[in-house]
Amino acid sequence: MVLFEIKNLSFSYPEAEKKALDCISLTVKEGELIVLCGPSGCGKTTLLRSLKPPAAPHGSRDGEILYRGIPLNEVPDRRLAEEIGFVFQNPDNQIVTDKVWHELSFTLESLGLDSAAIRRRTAEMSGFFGISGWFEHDTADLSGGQKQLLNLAAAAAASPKVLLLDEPTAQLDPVAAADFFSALLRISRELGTTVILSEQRLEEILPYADRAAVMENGRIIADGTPQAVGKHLKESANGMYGAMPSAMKIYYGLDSVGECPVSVRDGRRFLGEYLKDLSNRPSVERKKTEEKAPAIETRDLWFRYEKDSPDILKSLNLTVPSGSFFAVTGANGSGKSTLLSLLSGLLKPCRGNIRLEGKKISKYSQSELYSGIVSLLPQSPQALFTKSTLKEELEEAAKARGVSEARLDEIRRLTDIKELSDRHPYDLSGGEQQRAALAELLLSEPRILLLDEPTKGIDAVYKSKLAGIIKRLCRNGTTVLTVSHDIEFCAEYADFCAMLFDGKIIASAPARDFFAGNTFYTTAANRISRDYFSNAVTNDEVVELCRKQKEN
Amino acid sequence: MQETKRKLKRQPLRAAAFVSALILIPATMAAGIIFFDGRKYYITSLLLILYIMLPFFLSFERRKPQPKELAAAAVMCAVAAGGRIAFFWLPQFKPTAALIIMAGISFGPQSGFLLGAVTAFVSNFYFGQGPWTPWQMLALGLTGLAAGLIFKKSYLPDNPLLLSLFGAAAAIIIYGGIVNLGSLLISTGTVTVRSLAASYLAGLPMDAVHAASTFIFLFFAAGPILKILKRIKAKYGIYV
Amino acid sequence: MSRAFDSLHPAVSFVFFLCAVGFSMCCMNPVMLLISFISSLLFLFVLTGEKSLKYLLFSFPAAAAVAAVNTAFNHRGATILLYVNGNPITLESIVYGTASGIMLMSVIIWFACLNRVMTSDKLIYLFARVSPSLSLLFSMILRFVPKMKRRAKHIASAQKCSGAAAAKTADRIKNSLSAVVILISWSFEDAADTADSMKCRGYGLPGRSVFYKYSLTLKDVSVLAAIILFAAFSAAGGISGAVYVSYFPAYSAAACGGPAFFTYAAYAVLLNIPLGLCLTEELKWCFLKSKI
Repeated sequence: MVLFEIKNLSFSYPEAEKKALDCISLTVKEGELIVLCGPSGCGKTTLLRSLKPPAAPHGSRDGEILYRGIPLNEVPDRRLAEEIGFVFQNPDNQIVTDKVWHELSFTLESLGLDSAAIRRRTAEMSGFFGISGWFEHDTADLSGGQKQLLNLAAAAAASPKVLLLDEPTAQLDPVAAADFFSALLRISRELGTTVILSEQRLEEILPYADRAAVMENGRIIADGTPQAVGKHLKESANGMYGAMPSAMKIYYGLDSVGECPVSVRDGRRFLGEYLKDLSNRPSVERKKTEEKAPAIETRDLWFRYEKDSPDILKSLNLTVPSGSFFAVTGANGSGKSTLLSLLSGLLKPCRGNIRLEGKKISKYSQSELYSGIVSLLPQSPQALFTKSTLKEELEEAAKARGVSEARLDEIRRLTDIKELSDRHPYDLSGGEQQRAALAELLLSEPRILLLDEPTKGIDAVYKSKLAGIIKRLCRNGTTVLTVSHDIEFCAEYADFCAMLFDGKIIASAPARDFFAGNTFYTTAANRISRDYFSNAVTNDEVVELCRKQKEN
Repeated sequence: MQETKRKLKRQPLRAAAFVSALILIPATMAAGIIFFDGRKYYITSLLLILYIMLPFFLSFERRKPQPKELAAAAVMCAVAAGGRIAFFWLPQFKPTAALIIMAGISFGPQSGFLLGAVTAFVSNFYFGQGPWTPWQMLALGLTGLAAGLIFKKSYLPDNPLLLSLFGAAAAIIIYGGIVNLGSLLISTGTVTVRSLAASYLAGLPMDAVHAASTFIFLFFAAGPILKILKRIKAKYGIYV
Repeated sequence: MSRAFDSLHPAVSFVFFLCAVGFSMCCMNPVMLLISFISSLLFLFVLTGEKSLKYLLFSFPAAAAVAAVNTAFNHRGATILLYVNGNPITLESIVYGTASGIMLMSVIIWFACLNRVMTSDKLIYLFARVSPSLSLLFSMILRFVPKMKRRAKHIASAQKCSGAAAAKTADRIKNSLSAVVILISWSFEDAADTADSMKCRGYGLPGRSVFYKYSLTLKDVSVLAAIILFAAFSAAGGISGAVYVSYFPAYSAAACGGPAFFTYAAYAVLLNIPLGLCLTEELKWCFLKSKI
């Protein structure tokens, strides 16, 4: 039974020259799990929102959308609320009320159910999603992952026929994302709910999708099973190919026969077949990077927030070589953000010392510290923007710090934000906002740049742009330290990596060696190939080793 | 069309509410004099405050506010109640009145009153409710109402100095005036000219600091904030 | 121990506090004042333990101020003690001032109890019956305030690290001001999503119900009945003049007879209903445990 039938849908935002959606045709059958993918700005969000009228953007629309045979705009509001659920990207913004139980019952109240029915349904939902433990909690006390799970439960409370999700795990750490996906898959499998979601994290969800649809510039350029879509993207050499799962990329990196693997499991099976004549365990040769003098050094660092609260950092020793791109990883709550606050001078350690560029941090004055030594790029770049156009923002910041017009231009070029000057900072996409914030920070010419989760919610194209900017900065002598959950990003681009656990740095090594040494906390390529290759971490390394094998 | 219809719906209810209040007020005062013992002025005035606030709350309820209006109102009140934390290093600095004044200017006198009263109530969720709550609600509400009535324009007033002076005056006269009267009634139950004067004098230092913070906030931040509120009104489709 | 009262239906607790505060403010009879004061203190102690002493100390200056103000401005009274600035300080006004002070302390302590018992959950529930939009607004504001606070801190640190120098106080004020501006701007952008979320969840559909988390149990009804009964007795006593006192021109009270004692007793019972509930609960537990 067909749930949605989209015929030649076109849409443009008011006063926009380009169409946001251009002749989209898509059919969604009941019970399917469809993944929409595409670069930032391709129209995924616009398409998803168009499928739920209360969230639909204003503009000029052409073509039609049929929901179960009826034009979507003729479906009564009540039916829309009951049958179509929506989960937005930002977990925090969707939460309306102050208590978890109220959030769960919100939709049911809107539909006019009586208290007994609501009590029953929310009890059911809590059990199914494992929320019973925090039923009475304030929504403000929940973690990001819990919030998004709550949003999913609230959307599912009315037993909808279809769930629409707009990059639901973009703002979550990997563990929370995995929990979210498993809850979503339960809904899809056990309740048969149709699921349409847009995602950047294709590695985890694509293996479970019935169909994938790739969008670009408002058009659907590929639509079919994940394997068929991967093949199409590879053959047309499309940029989105870079977002496909590792197993697929390894498969296409070699001349392979048989079915294209999508999940890590399939990848391992494929590799097993491919390398069945393998007798030894080859490894990747990596050249040793020359270690320069440390730009950041901490010794015996201890920190806790209150006298009676537990120690967050316990005797932490960290050495970051000058001019390197250093990544610190660790679970949620391990103290990564606290570490950054300490390194940037926002917090004072309880014990131990921190040296920046060889000098104790306490010896720097406030103004010295922030005009040339260290800068911190916050997780939410919006925290920096005061003006209504980017041009004003940067010009005022430049004036305040005594930076010349020429240097400002250079920085604009470096961070690739020249065309964004007349835009309002809040209208920019996540990646654009981040580069703009970075530009503002670079005006102080920091020797040390600290980045807090820079790749959260950023798509693959921007990630590589960001990596390019970081590399250029490092070449010029800036030391870049980032705190990140993004294993693939760190493995691909970082020079060194360290893990924070139990208040200490428990491992620190050149990036690729670092991940090669882990079993769980490592890239998909590593997990696929670890039985055969001792230290291949990226897809390219796996492919290279496989090729070498075949040559022998 | 929809918008004008909704605006008009408000009037008859408000009119009815005011008329009933006009009947209730004298009746309550009479009852107060006859029945209540030592605290008659306090209790009567409490009821009066209730009668003044009720029409605003009722009309808000009747209006069946849209999600965007609720969200905008909630943000405004939350910032007014919680924004103080940005000045944690300067504990006497209270931007609440200034923000309510700007809310009154942007969203109109009625919303100004409502937002002021609600903000005062919610602030006390955190500091603790007390017998002073209704007075603070009325005081902040009237500040918003006055701002909305006096500065009928919704864009930056030509003279930020004028706005800041108004803010300082409102902090002392309206807010201080009402809250000090309330404290007096709470503690002594009766009002005499001399005790009232003494109460205002005693409250003057705090009111002066309040006025100063309101002045500074409005002088420097009113421009950008009113611009933001204007953009929000257009974006959200909130008509005053 | 306080759970016995916490678990009552909010309407019942609300009525109780209304009576407690209302009666405390109405009556100047010293016996009634003392009953109210002691009951409130006992209840606060049950609710908060040692912190109640902090409240007591806290309210002392307020009470003292009240007594002083009354003495200074209230010149009625027959027994003149001394003259200050040509104004007579009378014994009666000192006594009246002290009584007012005790009354204020009781009210403050009752409110402290109220704050502890009437959580945001319960207050919003009470409002929901009367004015659903307003109660939803409260709920949303309570949801936003912690977010605002966290965000304001985040913005302040981000500003600091970005090199926006903050040496002089003037600069710090400017930075804090722009932090509030950013806070507003950013939060309104986010609120658009919140509004969309509400719309997607069907807010605005006709026939919206309210989820009543609390239901009236037999216990609630019986406690409510007890409150109303004893409140009625106390009120009757008050209105009939059995406990009438007058401080001016000289202290005089109504005859100290049966009706007066009856009123005192009813008042004491009324104000100690929560305490009674808590103690019974405690005893029940001790009894049950001893049986194991």
